[in-house]
Amino acid sequence: MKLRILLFCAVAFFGFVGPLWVFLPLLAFYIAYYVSTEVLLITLCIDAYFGYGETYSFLYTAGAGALLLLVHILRPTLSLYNR
Amino acid sequence: MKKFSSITRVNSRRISQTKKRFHILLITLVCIAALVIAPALMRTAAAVIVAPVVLVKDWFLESGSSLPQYLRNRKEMVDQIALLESQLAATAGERHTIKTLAQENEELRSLLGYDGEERILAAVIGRPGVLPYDSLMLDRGLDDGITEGAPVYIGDNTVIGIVKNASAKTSLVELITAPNFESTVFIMGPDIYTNAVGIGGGQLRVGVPQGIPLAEGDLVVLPSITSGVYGAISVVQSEATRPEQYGFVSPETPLSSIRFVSVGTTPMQSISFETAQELLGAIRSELFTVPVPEGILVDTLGTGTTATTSASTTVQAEE
Repeated sequence: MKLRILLFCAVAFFGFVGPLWVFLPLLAFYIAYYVSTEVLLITLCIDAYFGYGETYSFLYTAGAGALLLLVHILRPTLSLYNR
Repeated sequence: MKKFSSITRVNSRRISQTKKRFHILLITLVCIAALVIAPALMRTAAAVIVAPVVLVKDWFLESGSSLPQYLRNRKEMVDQIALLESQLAATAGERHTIKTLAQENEELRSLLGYDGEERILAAVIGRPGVLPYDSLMLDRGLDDGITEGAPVYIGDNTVIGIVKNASAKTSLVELITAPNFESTVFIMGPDIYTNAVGIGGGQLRVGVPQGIPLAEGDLVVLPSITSGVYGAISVVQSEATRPEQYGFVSPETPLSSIRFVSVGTTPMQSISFETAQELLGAIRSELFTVPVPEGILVDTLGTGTTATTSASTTVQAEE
């Protein structure tokens, strides 16, 4: 549980201050490992704060949501969860 | 009985998984709807969470307080020890430092020496590639006099974007080169107005019909902003089989190397075509004319006080 909280804080921190090349792999790992919706809070904040005024200001939320769904659908076939 | 129980358990798991997928989809859609319906409200709420994190980063990297300075100095000392291990590397480091300081000095002089409208000097603390969107983050905000909609400059007169939102200590700049950002530009050379579209990475793309003499080096001006020279056309893409040709415009200083910018104190306002023409005339005379003393200038027009770099631009500027 501690690791999960730490990882969540790390994803949020790198999402807010960058760099992107650290944030995106961390986000993908968090989604793949925990398959949990709390990451949507981080992407919602990023989209709302940094994407304000953009045409598509929901890219990160939509992307994270789609990845969550995909991981959830593929979960029974992924070896990570069948060990 | 055992078989029935097993089937029930599998069915129950399936239903639970479907429910969870529906749950994920629902939350995602609710978030997207909130972002689309009430962006300003969501931004304010997000700022409560994001702004403190950004401020801490800014404090750590830029502040003059004792603790961050100590930590920064300590890091510099460790770096210096590593440098001193190799004399050659040390010499290279010193040269680099001198070059960087000289460059910074020149940059600051250029930013502060501008004698037009009052501007606010700001350091860039986030740029495309680091921030999630194609924008810049500055270390100045509402407390320093930054207003939303104000133009952002590099150097004397190169406009790179506008402030799209500002918090107390920081502000976000929407670059005019952000994808799909449209602006009206004037190209000096063929002397035409056209629309430019941002393509990201500090590049603008202008599209004009074939036959218009578009050339590399033609200056591109944003007439909506006083002294708004953006840059020069760096590449022209023209294929005889296509009805249009494209010019790619980039500023003199690449976005990745910008460390300081200056921000106008007044928000941008829409201007009429006539005003844009007047501004263009002013930019032309500022860029292409120099005061030449009486008796030295040889001129058939009889104005006797100015010389131009090209006869054709003078005529068009006066028109």
